[in-house]
Amino acid sequence: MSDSSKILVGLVGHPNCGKTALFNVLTGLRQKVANYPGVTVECVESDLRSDLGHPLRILDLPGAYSLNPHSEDERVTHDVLLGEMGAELRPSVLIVVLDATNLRLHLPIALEIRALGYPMCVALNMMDMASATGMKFDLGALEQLLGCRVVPTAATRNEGVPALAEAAAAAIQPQFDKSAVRWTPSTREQIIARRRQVEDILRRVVVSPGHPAQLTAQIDRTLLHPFWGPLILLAVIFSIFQAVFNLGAIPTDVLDGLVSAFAAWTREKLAAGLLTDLLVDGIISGVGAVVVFLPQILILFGCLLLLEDSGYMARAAFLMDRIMGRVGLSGRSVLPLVSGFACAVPAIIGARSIQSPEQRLATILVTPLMTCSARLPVYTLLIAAFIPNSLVAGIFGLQGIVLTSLYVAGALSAFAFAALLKSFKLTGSSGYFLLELPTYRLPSLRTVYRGLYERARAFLIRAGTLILSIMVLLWAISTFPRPPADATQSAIHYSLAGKLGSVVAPVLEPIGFNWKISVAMIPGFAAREVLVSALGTVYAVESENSEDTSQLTERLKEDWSLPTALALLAWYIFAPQCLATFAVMQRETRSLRWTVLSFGVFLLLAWVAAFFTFRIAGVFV
Amino acid sequence: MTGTDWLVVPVIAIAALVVLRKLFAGQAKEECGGCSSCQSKNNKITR
Repeated sequence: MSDSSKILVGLVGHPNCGKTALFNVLTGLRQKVANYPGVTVECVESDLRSDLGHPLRILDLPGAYSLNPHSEDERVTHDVLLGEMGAELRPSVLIVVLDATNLRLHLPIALEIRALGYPMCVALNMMDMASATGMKFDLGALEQLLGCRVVPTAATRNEGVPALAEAAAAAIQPQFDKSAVRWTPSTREQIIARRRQVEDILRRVVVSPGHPAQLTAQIDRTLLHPFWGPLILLAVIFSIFQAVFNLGAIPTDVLDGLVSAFAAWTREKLAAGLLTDLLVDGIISGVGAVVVFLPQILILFGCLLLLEDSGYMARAAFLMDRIMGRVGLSGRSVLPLVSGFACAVPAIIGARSIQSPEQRLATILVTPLMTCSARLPVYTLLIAAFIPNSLVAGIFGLQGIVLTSLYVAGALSAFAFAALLKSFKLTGSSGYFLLELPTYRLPSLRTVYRGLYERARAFLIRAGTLILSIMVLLWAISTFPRPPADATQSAIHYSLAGKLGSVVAPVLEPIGFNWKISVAMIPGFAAREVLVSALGTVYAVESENSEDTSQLTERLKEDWSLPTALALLAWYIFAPQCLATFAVMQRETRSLRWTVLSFGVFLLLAWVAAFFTFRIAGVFV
Repeated sequence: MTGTDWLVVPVIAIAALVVLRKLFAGQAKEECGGCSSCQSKNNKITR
């Protein structure tokens, strides 16, 4: 826990200079880091690791190019430094983090902060990469010119961290009066003077300029090529989804088999009764149904983390900028939209890095259409059950193609929705797009491992708490009231869930959903992947034969038609089935009207898409 | 209810409490799909 009596040290610097990586090694926490700008959009604070020996709290601030804020995240940094978010959050000392490979761009903010009068030290980060390209610095001269300690660091390798903690502690000035810090926007003359000062510092400090980023420039000539660039991007995305199926199928099948075997073993070992039914039908079938998709989720995110850390994701944003501009979004929208593949909640918060309020609103509103990881269990369950595992053109797996199509359909819908908003003149001021393209680097295995570990942990915790609890409740309403003695149908028909299902059924029948899908859909509004668990529980409870512990895919194949499965896939492209997304949308837009409107529009779109899919597929099947 | 059947009652009650707590605690961050962008409960999210 953070101790508010400790001295607060703020980490400031440009986006993507390694502040969060430094924060993680200074505190021992695991905040997300990536090789693209704008990952941190909120302040996060924690105590300095105790083994570093100083009673300090570290505050990670969003990246800012200057103290003159142009976007919401830059405003957070500005407000914190100037005490506009309360004295408690105002740091006493600053660590200014500079990217050693790009000092010309990064030095101005150090000069700007020095002018504020804060006690500070400088972390000259990414020194490993600078050294690798042959760059050499006169650190003594830099210290003299900046008037503070300069510590060379390589956060991803944990180098220079104790010295940095030492420098931050040494910079503390007990008599420093934070409330006396004043800031006025820089005039044109001041900006020009600062530029000159930067050139002067570089002349004196850079001993050898090295050969920076030659490889990056060569790679970019191909990857950012007007023709090949977009094609390569498409090929990369397509390969990822092929990998999700091709590599994920075996571990998923093994897990699925284990869950079924465990359910059968539990039923055999325990005495028949309600408690056994709850364990087998509610908990094991329900939670197990969603846990089996962990390998596929990890493969998808392993690929995305590799792309992020290599520096390619920022290029994807650059390549997409033109298309984005046409539909009223900006290239900067790409980063939130891509993180929407993980989850819409941080993606919506991440939209704070977009400078234009209209483009930010448009990005927030369309983000739920990006295919989040909670949809993946639903998609893979239905694709595995209904789409044959065959090859197209002898190379491409049909299942992977269908999965790619669903992701593309989600992204295209997001663009179409953004274009619609633009046509209503709700959004669309084009603004400008400035994005720092980071140097390519070999992905850090540690970053990828941490990212995957956190994702697996979060997924399993969620399965073990929220999903498990919802499944217990679903089992309860699917089991009680008990059927009468002269019952003619299966027990679930007489239960509360059965009755609720029959209430919702008239709305869902025209789109091909049976009452069991209707029942599973109700808890599925809490979170999308709950549908998979709920289907597992509903089919387990509904089964008259308690010995039947066959896998869920087999049961679905027997019970559903192909048009029903396709309609459910189409439903899930749009379905607004995530409470957290709309809660955070309301928080970020501060508008109940937009939140309710987008929920209603997505629900309507889901129904219409499922209706047409069901009807059209019905003609062919 | 016979034997151990009564045990389902406290299990259901606990599950209901967990769901209610999640629904009304305003913890949207914890409810998300669980990417690594926001995870540590020890972090103080200040805005």
